Amino acid sequence: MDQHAGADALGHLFGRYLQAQLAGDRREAVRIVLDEGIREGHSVGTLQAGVVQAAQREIGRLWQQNRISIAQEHMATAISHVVMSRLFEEARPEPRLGRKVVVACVAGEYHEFPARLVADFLDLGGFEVRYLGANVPLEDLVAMLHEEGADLLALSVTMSFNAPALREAAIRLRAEFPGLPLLVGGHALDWEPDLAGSCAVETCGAGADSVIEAARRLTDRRNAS
Amino acid sequence: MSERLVQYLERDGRALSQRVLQEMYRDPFWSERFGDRGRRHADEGSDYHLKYLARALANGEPHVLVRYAVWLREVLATRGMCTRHLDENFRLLALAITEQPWPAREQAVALLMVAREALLYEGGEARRLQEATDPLAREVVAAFRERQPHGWKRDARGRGALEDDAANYLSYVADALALGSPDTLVEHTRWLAVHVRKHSAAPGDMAVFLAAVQRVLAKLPQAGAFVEAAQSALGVAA
Repeated sequence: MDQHAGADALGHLFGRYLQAQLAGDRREAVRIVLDEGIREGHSVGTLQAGVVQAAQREIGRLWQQNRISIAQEHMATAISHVVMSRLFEEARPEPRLGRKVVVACVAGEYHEFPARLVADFLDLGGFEVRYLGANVPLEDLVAMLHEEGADLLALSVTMSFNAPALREAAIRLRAEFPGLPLLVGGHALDWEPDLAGSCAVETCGAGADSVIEAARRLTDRRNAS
Repeated sequence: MSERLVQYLERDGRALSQRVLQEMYRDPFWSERFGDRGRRHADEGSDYHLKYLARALANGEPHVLVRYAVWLREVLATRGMCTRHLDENFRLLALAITEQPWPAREQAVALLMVAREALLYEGGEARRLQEATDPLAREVVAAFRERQPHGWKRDARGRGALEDDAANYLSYVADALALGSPDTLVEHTRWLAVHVRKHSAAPGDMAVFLAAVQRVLAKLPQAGAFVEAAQSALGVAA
């Protein structure tokens, strides 16, 4: 059904989901995505990216234009976290691939939502995910990687001024975990197109398919070496 | 060399930007328009300016600072601060850096100049207005003084206040044009009318001021329409 569900249908869900977010109506937001979205035949991945992620982008734009306050932005984001949890429960994850991914925001980075989205994409895509959330100190990240023995580390950096934390992490992790692939995403890469190259880290597209494909490719390469 | 400069910015930048803000806050506009909350945001904003400047220095190119400046322009324009104010903040910051004994400080100054350039809108009446702000502001002053030789408000800027207010008002017009709505201009006009009265402007000064702006913008029809909307909101004749 997913291929047949047109953009209009998703746009309809997106618009009403956004309204529910801005009204602070958590139940309605959950109902729109879970009841209507799933009933209409959309996949969980489509709803995560086409409704929730798209709505979060719109929320950011509305704040930029002073059409909503920071309080409203936070309220809306909290609702998206609830909906993401419900979608996660609803999804049928791919069989385990036997590959472990650690997902975290770099030190100083408090914008958690993009990392959480990637963690959910990868988990449902069959990876064993350890999601560490916002603002993870490098020392703690290193300790976690020693404990977990990950096949891939995915780092998120939203604000450009946290780029030095990414660079520091990339240098330290390469020294401490030679061969561990480092996948990086986030808004900072849009504002600094050379950032990933200068840190010698991998990047990928924003959707679930791109993230999963990149994670498969990078872990294949690691396991083959 | 830029690493040293970034270190200086991190060490002394906050004190520098505080001095810049103090300079700007000599104009009562700031405290009256935005209050204590605005001052806190101004402090935070200055820190962000420096952080993005440091990123641009580290990269050796201005892209990230330019993206930040363009993003911030809309954030501030929709919150009652015109682009000329942001430009002035960048200008004063660059000036303050010039006066520091920092090695390679000219790199930081050059990046701030690029960021200032980026504040110009891409085209249309908004861009034309930005490019001609200073001469147009002088025309507004001349048109105003034809009818009110001794008018306008009194503040620390003395007789320069009218020209400065005119230039800022034109910047509000340009921002409203770029945003595609007169709303921010109307809101600023309402506030300015109260503000100038509080600072000893005569009752009819604001109407004369708006008429002067309207006359000067005769060749920019959309800008004129926006000023007319502001005049209507104040209930003064277009």
